[in-house]
Amino acid sequence: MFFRMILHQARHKWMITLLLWLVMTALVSLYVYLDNSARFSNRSMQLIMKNMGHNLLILPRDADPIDAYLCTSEQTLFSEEVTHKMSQQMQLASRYYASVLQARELVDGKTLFLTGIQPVHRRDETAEKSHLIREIPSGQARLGEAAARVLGVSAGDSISLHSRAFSVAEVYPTQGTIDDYRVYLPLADCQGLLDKSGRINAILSFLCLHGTSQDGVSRYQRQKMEELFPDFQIVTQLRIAQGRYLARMTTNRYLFYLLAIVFWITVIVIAMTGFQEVSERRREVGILLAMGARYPHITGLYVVKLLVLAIAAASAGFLIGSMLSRELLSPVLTSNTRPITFVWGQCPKVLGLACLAVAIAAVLPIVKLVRMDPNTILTEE
Amino acid sequence: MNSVVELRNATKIYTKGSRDVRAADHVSCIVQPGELLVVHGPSGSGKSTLLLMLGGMLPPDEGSVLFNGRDIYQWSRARRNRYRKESVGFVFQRFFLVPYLTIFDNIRLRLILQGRSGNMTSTIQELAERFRIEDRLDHRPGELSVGEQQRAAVARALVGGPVVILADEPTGNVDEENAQIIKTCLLAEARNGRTVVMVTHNRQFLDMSTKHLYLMAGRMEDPPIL
Repeated sequence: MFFRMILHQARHKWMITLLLWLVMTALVSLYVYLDNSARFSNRSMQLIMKNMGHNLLILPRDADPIDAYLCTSEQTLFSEEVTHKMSQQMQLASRYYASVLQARELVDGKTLFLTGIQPVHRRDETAEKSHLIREIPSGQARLGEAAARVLGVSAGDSISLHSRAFSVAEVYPTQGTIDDYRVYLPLADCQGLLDKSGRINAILSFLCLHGTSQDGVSRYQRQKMEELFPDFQIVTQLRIAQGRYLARMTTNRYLFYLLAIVFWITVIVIAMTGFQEVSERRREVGILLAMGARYPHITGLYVVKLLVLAIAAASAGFLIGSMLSRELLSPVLTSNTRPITFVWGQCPKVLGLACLAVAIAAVLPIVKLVRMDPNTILTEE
Repeated sequence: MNSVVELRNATKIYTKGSRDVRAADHVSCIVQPGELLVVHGPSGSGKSTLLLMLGGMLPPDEGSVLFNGRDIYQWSRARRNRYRKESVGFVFQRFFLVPYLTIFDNIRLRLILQGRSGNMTSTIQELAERFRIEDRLDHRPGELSVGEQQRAAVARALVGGPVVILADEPTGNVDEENAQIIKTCLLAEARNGRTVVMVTHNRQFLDMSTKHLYLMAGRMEDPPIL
């Protein structure tokens, strides 16, 4: 009978029921859309920022980082197997590594940097990211803008290094950094040229920044490296790490401040309709009390109806929000990410959000309901 | 014979602005099983206040209200709810039927609140036939005439067998034919041993009452000679 009353009451005031359902559905849809926007925009921005380069440099503990920066002949060499071992460690926050062997090379009186590079990714790394540093086929080279200028070549030409010919597959646009002077080669080819088979100077790493603060992730990575690879040190490229972190925070904050505004508008709408409903149901309250019903029963009729509506709105809002983000967000993102789809992990959150809005909005109408004087209602002419 | 309900010096004062209004001023009366008490008096004399006090809805400021010899306002709120649920049937001038439930469900609601389960159809059908609303059970109150609504409200008050029936102007809004049906039923209830307390201006009820109480500004007085 309790649920029958709720159902009949909802049907009796179907316009109000529909309004409540719509406003909650709109809130949940917006939440799902914004959450997906933040999730996939951040993903997209993360990929854009990753193109700026690694945010961690991993060197042997006894190596002097300045040798790596200046590419001196004093750089410490170690086995490229270390990179593969690191990529097998699921406890490390980084999912993506690149083994690097670099050496100075004097060409026509200008210094260039021979850079052998080989991407190595963790087994759970997605395909989209594994393309950030693309594997260079044997016999090919990619040049920084300044290196191409010094060598007087462009894409499609050939260059000769240590008497071995390499075809220029690509010339990168200028970065305004030392990387403009790099001649990127496949790691194995570079090791052959320099006669340093199986050896590298440094590991570039891309630190995953999801989950907590930038400091938190860095601290975790440092701690885990000390536990698992005590013979190695980490040098953080802070401005890149910060750029990625701040881009993520800005998106999140912008979208969720908007959500906060919509949340409170929803709460106000539910509360106002609640006040109206309580006023309209005063006679019903009066007679129920006269028949011996208790306040929990009477308030339960109101609250349970709202909760059922919240569950219905959460389900509809989840579907609508997911479809909206799939249709509207994909064309907006400038770098391709994994396909935008239903994120089922959002379900408990959307249910919680709708129920929270109801719980907050229902407080004042319930106070009004409980404070109504049934005697006044029952004796009014 | 023992009293069913009793007022002992019951006093109720409402404060309106800076003025105190005595809605009940040391009212005492005893109603026994099978009695039909009619409370009458001019508007604002405290008749409805008296009914609400008897129904456990409004505690008196002074004095006491007794049911089977026990002061109902000494009971906990839960016990008083139980008293209303099991022992009292209210009828109001404005019916107060739940607008979105059918007449059947309006009547059934009282049985549900009493905690009864199982098939109640025959009980409700029987009562509906007494009040000649058997063909209106699946209608909502808005689809019924005023007289039918009031008959349904009386049927709801009677279902579940309350010991005390408290009726506030039950025929105030209905025509002569409907008033007659309601009057007959309430009188039959009193004859069957129930206690009926009724606020009314209807002279017919005064004539058939076993006891009457005239209120003037909350005080019990002798009625004016008409």
